[in-house]
Amino acid sequence: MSYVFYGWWDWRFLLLIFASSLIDFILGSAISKSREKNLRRVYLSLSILFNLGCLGLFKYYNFFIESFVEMTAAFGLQANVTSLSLILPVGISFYTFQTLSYTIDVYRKQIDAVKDPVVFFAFVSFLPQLVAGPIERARNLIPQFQGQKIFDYDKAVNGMRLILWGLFKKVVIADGAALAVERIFSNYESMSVAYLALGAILFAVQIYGDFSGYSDIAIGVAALLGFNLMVNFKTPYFSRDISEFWRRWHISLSTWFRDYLYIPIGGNRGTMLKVVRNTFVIFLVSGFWHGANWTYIFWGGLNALYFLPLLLANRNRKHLDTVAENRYLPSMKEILQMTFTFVLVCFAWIFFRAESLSHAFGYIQGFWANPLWESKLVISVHYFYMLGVFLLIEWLIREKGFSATVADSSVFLRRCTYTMLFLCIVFFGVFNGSEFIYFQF
Amino acid sequence: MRKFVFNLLKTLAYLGLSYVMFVCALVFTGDGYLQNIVDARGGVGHSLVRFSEAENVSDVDVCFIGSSHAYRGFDTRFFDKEGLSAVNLGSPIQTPFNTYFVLNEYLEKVNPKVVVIETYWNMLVNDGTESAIDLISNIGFTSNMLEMAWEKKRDIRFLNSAFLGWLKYSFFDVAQKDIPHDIYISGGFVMSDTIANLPGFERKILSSKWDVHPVQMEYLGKILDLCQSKNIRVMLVSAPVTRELYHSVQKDYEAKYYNPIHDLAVRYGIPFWDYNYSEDVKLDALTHFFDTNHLTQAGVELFNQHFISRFKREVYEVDLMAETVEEEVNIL
Repeated sequence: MSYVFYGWWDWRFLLLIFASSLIDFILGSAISKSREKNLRRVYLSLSILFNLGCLGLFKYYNFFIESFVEMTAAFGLQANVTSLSLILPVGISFYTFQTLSYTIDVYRKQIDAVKDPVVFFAFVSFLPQLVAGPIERARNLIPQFQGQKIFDYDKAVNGMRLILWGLFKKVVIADGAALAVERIFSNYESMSVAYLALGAILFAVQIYGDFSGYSDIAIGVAALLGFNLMVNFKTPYFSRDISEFWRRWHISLSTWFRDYLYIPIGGNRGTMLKVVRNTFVIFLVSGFWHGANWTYIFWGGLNALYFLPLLLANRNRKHLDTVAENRYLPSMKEILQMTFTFVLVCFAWIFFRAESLSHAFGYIQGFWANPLWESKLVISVHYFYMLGVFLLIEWLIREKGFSATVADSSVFLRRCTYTMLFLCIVFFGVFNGSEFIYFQF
Repeated sequence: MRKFVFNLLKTLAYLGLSYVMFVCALVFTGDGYLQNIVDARGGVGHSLVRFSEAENVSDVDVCFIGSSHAYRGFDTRFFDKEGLSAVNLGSPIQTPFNTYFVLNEYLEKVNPKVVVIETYWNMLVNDGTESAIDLISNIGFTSNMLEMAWEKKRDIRFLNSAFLGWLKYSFFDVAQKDIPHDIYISGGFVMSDTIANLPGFERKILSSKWDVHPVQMEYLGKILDLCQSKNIRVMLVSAPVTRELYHSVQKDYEAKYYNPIHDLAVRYGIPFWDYNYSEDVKLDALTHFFDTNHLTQAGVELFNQHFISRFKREVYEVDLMAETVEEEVNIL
């Protein structure tokens, strides 16, 4: 079923996902059977080389070629290199990391190699999260394919709730902001400071609504099929510092990098210099994972810089709880902390959204070069009502998540929530067929 | 599982009911404008009056059709003065997709000698939903409009608006609203009493990515086939906009708009006059436009003078002469 779904987009890339699954299935078995450490290491290296090689070829080849040509041009030389113009197979960054986690876990003896190829192929290509995550760990997902599936009413209802919430976030919040973001970023030279700030804020809303909306739909669909996927977002814009933000944003990727990159290269062990180096490595690689563009690398580097003061002051694990826990409203200090963190995040998003570094710097330059205020029609006032609804719900669900919060509320409140979200989707949703942003990664 | 399906159906029924109640509330409050629902009967564009009038028009020399550029750009009175009877069937944001159904509805009734289709590039980018809402709200649920509706069945904006319209007509008799600064002229033209563009307005044009919607090119071809199958002469015109607006899209204009339309016109052997590409009429952004793309009456006069003399010379009289020559040959 997952292969039919994936092949619908472009059947040729079925070969790639099939090859990737097959090679890791074989290498996983080989690692498991082999008792010689060096041989196990060779098999693991082959798996890593193959997967990162595919990712490098399809996602980064042209980037390196173009960067090389630009660099030689800067020195007055003309390099004659042809780029391949390869199409990026949708979801390659996600399933490559998922299948890599399998071989690494088998190598570390954290899980046994899968004996049933159908289970393994289903794990790599699992329909709900194939194209944009969450990036599941083999130790969480594979056992769920092996056990017998029994319909679970509560799980299915929770799944439906998440699908509704995810749809609202995608078609009302993210797609509603998309057009305004496009207008502001395309015309940044003529935008006043207020609109440049609005553009950055709306992009923060757009990318969160889009990606977390997709994740919720994926988790909801998986729940309907009887599977549990990991939570990928925990109301990240209510974070009190950047470290908390990264514990709440794209959790499946952050923890993947933590488990398979940060800890292996030393993590927070060793001298402070090494810890700082490791932190920069993980953020820069994370930026590069998002795309073959210097803007993503800069975005990663900027986040590492944000992280640095917390690391040096040893305050990066200060906010492990949820803001205003067991309270309705945050304190003034918490409001200031959240606002400051949000501003930092929005500033970094400018680089993420910009088409090039010069575009990003031009946009930022506009904050002091452009007039403070000049009215322009970029977004309907209705959108801000929707944004209000969204923020209110996000605040209310920050501790337990959407599904559990709704489940705990009264029948009347539950029905009101469903009705309100449904009517918002029908009367304010944008249905122009826009893709999910994270499909491109 | 059974409990889940039962509760799911119950929830869907409940949500369906809440949807109906919400639309009913909009009918009675009269606030029929949200992002995905529009109450367009008797609204801007004067489509209600125009299409009611069109029911009683027949055998005209020229029929103009297209978006607001058509009904705000071609003043039928100037054509009458030159001895050409004319009717304007333009409507707000009317794209070729919509034009096809409007022509199916009115072409035989109006029976024009020449159909002038205004093809503003922005209309080729649009998917035709907003116009479909305007047309079905003002023309009503005729077979052609229902056929158009069928094509739009998957568009939530259209479905919501059509449902609101249907409910509203069942309860109220809606008349044409007064639109500030607009004067409807019998024959389909809408004159603006605004005499100038806002200074500086033309500099605030936001550029954005645009591509011609494939459906629109397909329907443009269908329109030309329809007219030619009924032996009605047809031509394409792009009415003038401010140079500033034109410059904001000029980078892609030739490749995405001008060349495909020009090629289509050549294929069908019909004229295509683009007043933006060639700039045959010199118009001033401040005095001849009241916004980025709509002409003031002074602008309309200049544009129409040029259009009429060229139209008579290169299209209308050439056509009549051809008929005369043909008749003479037949007599001989």
